[in-house]
Amino acid sequence: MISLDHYFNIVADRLRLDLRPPQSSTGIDPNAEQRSAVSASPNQPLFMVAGPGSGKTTASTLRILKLILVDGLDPSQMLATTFTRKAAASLRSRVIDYGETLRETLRAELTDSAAQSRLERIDLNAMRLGTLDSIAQDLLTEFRLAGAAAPHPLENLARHSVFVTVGVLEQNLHQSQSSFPALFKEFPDYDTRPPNAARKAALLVDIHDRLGNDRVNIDGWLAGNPENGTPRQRGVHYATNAIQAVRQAFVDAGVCDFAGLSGILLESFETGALEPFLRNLRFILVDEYQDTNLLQEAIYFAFARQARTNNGSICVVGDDDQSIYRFRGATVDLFQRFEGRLQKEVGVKPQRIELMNNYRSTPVVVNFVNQFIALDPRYQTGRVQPLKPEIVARRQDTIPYPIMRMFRPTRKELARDLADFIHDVVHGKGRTVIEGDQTFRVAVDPEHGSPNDVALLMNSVMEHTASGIDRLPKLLRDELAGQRTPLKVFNPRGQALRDQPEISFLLGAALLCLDPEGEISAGLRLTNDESTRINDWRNIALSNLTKNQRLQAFVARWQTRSPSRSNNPNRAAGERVGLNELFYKLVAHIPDIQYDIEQLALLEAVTRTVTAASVFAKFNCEVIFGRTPLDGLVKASIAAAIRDVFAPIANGAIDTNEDLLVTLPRDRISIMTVHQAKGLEFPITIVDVGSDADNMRSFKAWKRYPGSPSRPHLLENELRPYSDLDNLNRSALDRAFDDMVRQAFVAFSRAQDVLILVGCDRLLEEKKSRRVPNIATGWIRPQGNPGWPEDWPWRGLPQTVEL
Amino acid sequence: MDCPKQWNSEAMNVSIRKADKIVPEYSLTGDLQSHRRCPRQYRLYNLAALPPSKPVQQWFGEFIHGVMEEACLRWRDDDDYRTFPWDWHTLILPIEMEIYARLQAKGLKAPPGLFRRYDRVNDGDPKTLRRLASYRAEAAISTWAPSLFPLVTSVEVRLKGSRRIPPDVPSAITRADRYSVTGVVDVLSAVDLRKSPDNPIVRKLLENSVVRTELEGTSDFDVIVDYKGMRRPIPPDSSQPDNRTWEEQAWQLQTYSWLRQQQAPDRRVIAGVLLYLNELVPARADIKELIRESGDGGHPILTDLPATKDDWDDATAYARAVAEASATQSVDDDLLDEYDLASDRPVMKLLRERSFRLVPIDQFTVKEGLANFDRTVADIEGCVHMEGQFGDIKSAWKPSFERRTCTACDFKYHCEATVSQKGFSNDPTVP
Repeated sequence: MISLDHYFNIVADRLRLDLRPPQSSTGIDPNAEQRSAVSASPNQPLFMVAGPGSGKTTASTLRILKLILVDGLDPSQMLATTFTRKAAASLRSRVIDYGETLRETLRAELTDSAAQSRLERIDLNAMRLGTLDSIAQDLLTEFRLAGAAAPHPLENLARHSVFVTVGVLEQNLHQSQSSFPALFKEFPDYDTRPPNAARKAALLVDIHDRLGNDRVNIDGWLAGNPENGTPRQRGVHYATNAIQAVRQAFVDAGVCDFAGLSGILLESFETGALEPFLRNLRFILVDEYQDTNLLQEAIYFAFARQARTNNGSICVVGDDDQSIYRFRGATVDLFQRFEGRLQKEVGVKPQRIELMNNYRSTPVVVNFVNQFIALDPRYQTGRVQPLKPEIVARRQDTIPYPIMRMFRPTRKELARDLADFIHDVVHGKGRTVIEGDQTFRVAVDPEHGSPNDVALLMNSVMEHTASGIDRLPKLLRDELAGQRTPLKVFNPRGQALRDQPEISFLLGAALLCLDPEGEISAGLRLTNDESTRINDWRNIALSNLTKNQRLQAFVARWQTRSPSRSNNPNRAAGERVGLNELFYKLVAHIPDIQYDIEQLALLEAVTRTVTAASVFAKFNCEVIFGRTPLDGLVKASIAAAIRDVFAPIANGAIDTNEDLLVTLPRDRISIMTVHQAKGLEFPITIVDVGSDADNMRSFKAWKRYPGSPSRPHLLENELRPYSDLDNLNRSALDRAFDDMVRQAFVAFSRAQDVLILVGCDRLLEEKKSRRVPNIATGWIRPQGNPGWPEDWPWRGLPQTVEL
Repeated sequence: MDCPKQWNSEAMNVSIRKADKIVPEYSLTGDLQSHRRCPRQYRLYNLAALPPSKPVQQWFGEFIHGVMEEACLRWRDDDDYRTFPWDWHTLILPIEMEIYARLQAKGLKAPPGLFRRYDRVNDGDPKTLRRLASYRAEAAISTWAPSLFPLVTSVEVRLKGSRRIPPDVPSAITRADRYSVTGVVDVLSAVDLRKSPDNPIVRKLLENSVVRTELEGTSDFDVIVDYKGMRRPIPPDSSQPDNRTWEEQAWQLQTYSWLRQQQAPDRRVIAGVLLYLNELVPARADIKELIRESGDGGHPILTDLPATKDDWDDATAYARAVAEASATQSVDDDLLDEYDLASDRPVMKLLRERSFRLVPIDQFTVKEGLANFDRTVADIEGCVHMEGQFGDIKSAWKPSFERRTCTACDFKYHCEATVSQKGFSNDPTVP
């Protein structure tokens, strides 16, 4: 429709993105890589390695639009996918926003009526764009035959509770005589206490996902673990039987999980159901490719083969240094070996493009990040080969704030001083920082800035340790609330759902209505953990009840089964009351939950648990109102509700879903995990590198400098021999270290202007008995004996300025 | 490392965190109409995704859409379904159960008064378990499928388009310059319509002069169809200024037609058809409403298709038949049989008439429909912005009172809109 030059011209004029070659012959052409990514021909496969802040969404968008406007591809011939819903929404928004802007420009410029007509026919929304799960669901729904049900994937909340009830409890995996504990010991989690049902279910989920994602030959795995072998080998059989039982329960209920959905999509290539879509497919883009698993790769390659047949191509974008989702099945090797694997499986060689210009951070931050990623020599051998160049800072007109640190003797002092600092920066006159002979002032923009310009990133945002000691998020929340101008934080995942005070009150009040004495729950096979928690909720509600007369009256009516005057008593006795209806009525008496953003996210987790659990629940998560004394059926309905909803929340199987928390309120300081922060950037980024270090008992090695591999690495070792993946060429421990380096790299590279490392003084100790090895403070993995001082090249963090 | 040549940190602050410009996605029925009914409820049910405790309307809407879609697919692909009429037990019941199971798998459970699951092994005669939704599904199929399905070119076409947010909304305060809007319709093509002049739907279309002229011509066009799991709304007039449903549904079709044209620029949509499927088997309350809207007792006539004086007795008898087993809202099958939908009794003709609504579509009406939805999006984006600024849901999303909406709302007990309204209390009922 238009020439490539014309395209680059309107992109420069209207979108203010100038990728054209420089006019002067200085030899510097900063946009050369982006330009070749955008201008590659439709049948040229691309392997885009894109560093943080390098504008990969922009490059991907411009490539898509170039294929449409210059090469004449129809959007319906294109498919683009990425790892999270947030990233998919961002890419979709960009395509539509840029695409429509360019269309408006061309509408005014093009005089040829045929071209005008082609322009008007472009329907950007016809492109398939979303997470692979959402695309799979759409395709399988749209191209299904009569009678074939559209797939319905189960939410993770509900899925986990099915693993607890069907996988663990019904399969008796909770009995100590089964061999499952031996397997659990081999693949432990981070909790040293004996595993409860939820944690056992979590292991089943991890194994189940790996089996599916790595396309493991289960028969092979079972054959390698004889049924009459060691307890651990027998445990493999228990686990696979339990997983099979869960899968059958899914089939019976007409649902699948997301791994199952990808499996169905892959199978549908064989059945020919997708033929109407595939015969036109010409372009596939996969963003965040470093987080791909083998099952997804098989799907992408199947699309890529089809695109190639249609004279099109695949383009993948990613960065192995930012691969932080191994625990969700991401297999970074697939990214690192993409070039060879594509050639083998699809028969084409991709062009490698490196986007290493950073448009996000100051040169100081970029330099820090570059130094950090290059620190550990052993890490380098696990990166994409040949090594990509360093990131280059391209942001203009920045203030070279030094990298800062705030280390204090205790987390309490740290919280106090950090709160003061944040307050000064957000609501005060700012904070002065001196480096050498230079003075800097750190302050958010008084007119357009907000508390949301500051974020605290942590490995775990929990407000308390397992033993109940306050952690930095809790201390900081309290300190900020006590400032002259109080500041709020946004951290809905700061406490497990079961520990949240308002939610505990709500659940307890419901229990007071349904089972005030705990008589019904006592008759259930609840674990100690579940019973204790359920009793705690009841007690919390009881202590609040005296202060709330209206609630007291409501609960009393339930307890005595005295319907409100407007209800017919006979009819009321037979009424089936949905648990959500009861919860919403109780919320009417608990104002703290009604309109608070954090609390609503928690209420959503509870109510969606009810909806999801009702798919499998005996009484559909409804209780029969009944009369006093309650008869057997009424009690059975209450027992089912406790087992299906209250118990999974009590044992920790249900928690808030991070995908639900998409909007960061501007009036609050965000506290988030590094995973939540992926894809985001903040003017002032505070990274907690070890606020727990004042109590080394809670600052375990796995959080900072692993002494042994974790479950995801061990499961990879276990199952890799039974999958089609290449053999692992790095040890499990090396992979554990690699993951930690990547996590810190992602955290540091979120900073736009100011990067502050915070922790306890202990982290800087150099005395042998006091040292705290920690990847995030610049330690590298053990280099052999004696190790010191080579193991800590950043001793004392000399490149940072103390606050 | 390059540093800027000149900087003065005393005069500068850190960057402002720019929220990503996004293109928010709205569905016409789920989001835009919901926000127009009540912004507060929209915030809680749609944005916070709190599931309604009794999703009766949602369940029935999805059920009846699912039944009609599946029925159309089976008519197209399955020889057993090629000829009408369909036997309820052998052909329609399996479709109902299929859709029931799909909704159950989504966590949408059937309201017991509307639908009962049939267990082939344990339940004996399935007729005893039939409830209103099943009767409506059968009536929808037997009344409209024979004439509609042969005309359908594309089933459940998913429509999606993007539009600019109205320019009077300052871009500085919105997170978006554009929004996407989605919808689903069935499409009928001019070619098929012209081939079937005796088809009852074509005959209904011909009653409209604009459509008739188009049909008599040769140019290509589409007619879109949407099912509504509700009764026919009343057109707005000066005495009922708050009744927006009639207009909103027209805007919805007009917007669909715009979306369809984005997908297929060569094709014009000249009309939309709305099928109000509850009309075919009204519940007792529906008949009462119909009689009231028809001017009973000296009230003004509100509906465009009233029951005449002569119909009332028949309508009342019909209502009695429908409500005979009123405790469970089930329908007594024998009594209903007497009121065979295909019969020529006046009330049956009236109900068939009332279940069909034609919405003529041209560029002016489309413009009007789009303008109304653009305005709604601007309102929503304004609320989103306000909440983001001040973190206060209550002041950003004001509730609005509408008796029917508020009655079914889970948040009515602590909502300021219901405080002084008759029949509402801030003390939740037990159970």
